[in-house]
Amino acid sequence: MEANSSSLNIINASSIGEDVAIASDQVVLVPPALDSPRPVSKADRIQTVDLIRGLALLGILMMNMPGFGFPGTRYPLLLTKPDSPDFYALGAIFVAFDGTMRALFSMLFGAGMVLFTSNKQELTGGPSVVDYYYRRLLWLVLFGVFNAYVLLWGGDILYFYGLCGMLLYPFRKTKPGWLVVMALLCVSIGLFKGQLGWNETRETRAGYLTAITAEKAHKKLTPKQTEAKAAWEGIEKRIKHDPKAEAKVLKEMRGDYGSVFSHLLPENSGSETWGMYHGCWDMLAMMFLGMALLSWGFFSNKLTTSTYVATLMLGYGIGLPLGWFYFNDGLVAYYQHIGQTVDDFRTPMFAVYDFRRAFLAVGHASLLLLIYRSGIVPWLMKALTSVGQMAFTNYLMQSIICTLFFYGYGFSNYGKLSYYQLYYVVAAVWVFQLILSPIWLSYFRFGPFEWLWRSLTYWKRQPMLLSADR
Amino acid sequence: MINALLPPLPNPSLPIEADKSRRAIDLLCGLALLGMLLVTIQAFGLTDAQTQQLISNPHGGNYWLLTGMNALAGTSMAGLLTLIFGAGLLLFLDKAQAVNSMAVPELLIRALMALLVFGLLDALGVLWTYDLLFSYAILGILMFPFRLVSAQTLLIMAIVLALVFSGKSYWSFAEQKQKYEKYQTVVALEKKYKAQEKKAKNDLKATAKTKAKAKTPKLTDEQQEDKSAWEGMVKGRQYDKKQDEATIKAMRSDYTTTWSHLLPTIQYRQATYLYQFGIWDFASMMLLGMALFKLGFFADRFTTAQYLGVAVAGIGISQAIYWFTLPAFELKITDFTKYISTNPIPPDTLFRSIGQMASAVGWASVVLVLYRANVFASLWRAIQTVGRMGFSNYLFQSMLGVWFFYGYGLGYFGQFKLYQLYFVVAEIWMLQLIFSAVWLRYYRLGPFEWLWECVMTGQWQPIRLHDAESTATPILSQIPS
Repeated sequence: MEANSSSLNIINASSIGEDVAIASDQVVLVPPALDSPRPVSKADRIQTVDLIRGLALLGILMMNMPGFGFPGTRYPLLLTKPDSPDFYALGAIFVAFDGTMRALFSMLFGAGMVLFTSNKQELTGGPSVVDYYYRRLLWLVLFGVFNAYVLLWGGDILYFYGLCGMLLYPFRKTKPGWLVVMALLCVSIGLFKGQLGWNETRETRAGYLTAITAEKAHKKLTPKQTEAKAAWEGIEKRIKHDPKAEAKVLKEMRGDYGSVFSHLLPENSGSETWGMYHGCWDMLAMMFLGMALLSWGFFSNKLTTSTYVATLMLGYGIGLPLGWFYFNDGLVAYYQHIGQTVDDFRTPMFAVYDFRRAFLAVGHASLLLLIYRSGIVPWLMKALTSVGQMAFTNYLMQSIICTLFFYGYGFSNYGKLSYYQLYYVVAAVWVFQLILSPIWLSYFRFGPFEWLWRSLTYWKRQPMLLSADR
Repeated sequence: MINALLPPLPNPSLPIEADKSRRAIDLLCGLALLGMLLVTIQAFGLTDAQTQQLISNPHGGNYWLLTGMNALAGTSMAGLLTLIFGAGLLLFLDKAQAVNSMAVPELLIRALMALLVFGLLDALGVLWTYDLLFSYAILGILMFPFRLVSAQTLLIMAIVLALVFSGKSYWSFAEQKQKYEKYQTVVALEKKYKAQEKKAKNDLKATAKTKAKAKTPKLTDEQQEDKSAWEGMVKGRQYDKKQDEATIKAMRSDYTTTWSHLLPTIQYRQATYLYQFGIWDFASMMLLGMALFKLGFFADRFTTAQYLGVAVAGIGISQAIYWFTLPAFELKITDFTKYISTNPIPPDTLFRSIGQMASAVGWASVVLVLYRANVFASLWRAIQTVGRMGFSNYLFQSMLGVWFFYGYGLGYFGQFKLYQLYFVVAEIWMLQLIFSAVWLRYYRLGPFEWLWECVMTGQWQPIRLHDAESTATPILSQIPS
């Protein structure tokens, strides 16, 4: 052990035995976007995984854009005005997309873990696949911290993926059936936790109602009743538009870097703490499902066209109606008449979230694969594949572009666009990334952040130029 | 095979009598486990407020007992346990061999994930608030990628992370100080406004008969918030007899009441504390343990003079830090406002991690020197046996403590004077020393170690000594003689 441990340089394969060097060489070929080395004959498989990842990467921006540029305090206004273009935009997003792109991303992350680690032998004495796997995840966690606290994106997922990914390794050889069971287990835990929260809300509501009846009967309220009443009024207040709070948010987000940083600090640390602690099930469920789908050949374009048509029908057929309930009876009802919603539903409508997005995600992926097979828009498929191949760079680039566009230390457009107008910005970023990614990849082996990530993982500067390779 | 609070070693490459580091690690694990109880017993048996009252009220014998126990085992023993855990990670990777066609790193990851579940059960099932297993499991996985890093780099990393802990402590202190300063400005402003108001009223009276109200400035919402933020913080830290009684009542109630009472605290520790402070504390101690393992600290590779040097320096530094920062620590409890306003830095938390490192390594050296010199040999052997089933003993401590103090057990929570708690400690020590020795006479490994090994390897493992004999490992040599 001492001989190997002179410094971190041991990761440099050339300093260890030849056996290891050969094995590491294999590892070095791994494209960092969560793929694995594979024989060229299977190149097609990489392509569809990258293709779907490209879709997920672009799609995720639809849900993130409001986070970048739209104050959350405005949702009460938006959701209580059903005839505005904003309301329709929000409806479309929530019915068809909310959570689905993140689901696809998580699924492909899980699948990527299997691809990264499969068909490689563990080696004794030097770093092996498992070492590289955990090193890259640890770096991913740090990239997530960078994305949240330096680039100031409050909705970062890299941190969470890095940590959740560390739990996946022992499941890389698990049979798909069991993986689905694991996914269902994770969903159930999430549901259970959600139900506990909902029960609490219902209790508060019940306490409030008794307090109100007592008040009407001119009885004096017990301290407990007063408390319950205040608690419920607090909940109601939280979904009312608060112009004062909004003015504060706008001022802080349009301020300098320090002002935005301190505004987002509690949000960031809160989500990295409690989002991880309570919310890891959300990601783990989809990762397990993705691993299962990979081994069934779904992502690698191995199924028959009729199967993809079937998964498309099934995905949309179940996902879209659930999405409608989720939006209309969940979100809208909650904002429009919260009291009645809490009284009426023993289980929150939001509970369909994971089922709905899993079906929709499969539907979206099936649709994309069918388009890919039909060969209608090869140029678009090629561009999407490039976007997916440098997904890590594109993800961080979205943070950079959007924070600079909206935050005070950039162009300060925070809160200046209405909800539907945000999607013009989304379209612009899409076009930009769809054009830039293929061009970049015709000169370089991978995206700049992929290069950095990979160099850090192997603790060695990686070749970047495509021509240097030839 | 048995190993200190660590996954049992499947197919160890060396029998235990030939493995110096394993024996040393078992010994130190036993020491840390038993020693830790000197401090954790306070949390098992009393409310925080009750212990703090010993400091706020006129000092008596119990105060000195508390101060002495904290000096001796306050951070050192939990620190030592973390350090041993880090060392044990490398020991496992070094000495274990593949089982059930799973390579050693995979076995370790599986073991740590199982530990995560055990930790959740210990915290949310047994309801031991200060469970360490959950955090150890997460940190163990995070430390895995550093297994091949050199001892020197590990040492540097350990110190850097300890400094991050100090930095974060300073940050949180500075935030509180800032709150206090804001509060002071608001209070001064309020005084000024009141004086103005008074004056305006007098003026009105003097000029009389004008119906116009005196227009005096009022505090803005933000200023009000600044004021109440600080006031709330100070109030939250004051002794509240009613609240203390409510806590004791909840802890002596049935399981569900205690569960709901403890849930926020447990979740705070598992999420917020771990994220903000715990991770740096645990990671630095584990890395230090890994560095020491690579330096041969546990394999008896230091000279006696070196061990003694480390012992003197470690204990000297940590005791100096403890006694030097004690006034600040106590002031924080007796007069929080004064603590914040008079200190430019938070002495008690700023040097905590360095003090912990020094004391953990210091005490470990003392024991290793005595062990090597065969002084108190039978005592060390007994403690070693406790350490050899450290995981089971850790869980037994939680269960015994909870059973003795909580309402769904004997319900002595909040009923004892501090010194009386140490009779319970002695009782638990005795139980664990005897039980471990007897158990390991008949069984290959502790009961929970066995369960852990089964989960880790995905196979039923033999538990009795003679069952395992057929696997041809020199099992008999493990029986403590």
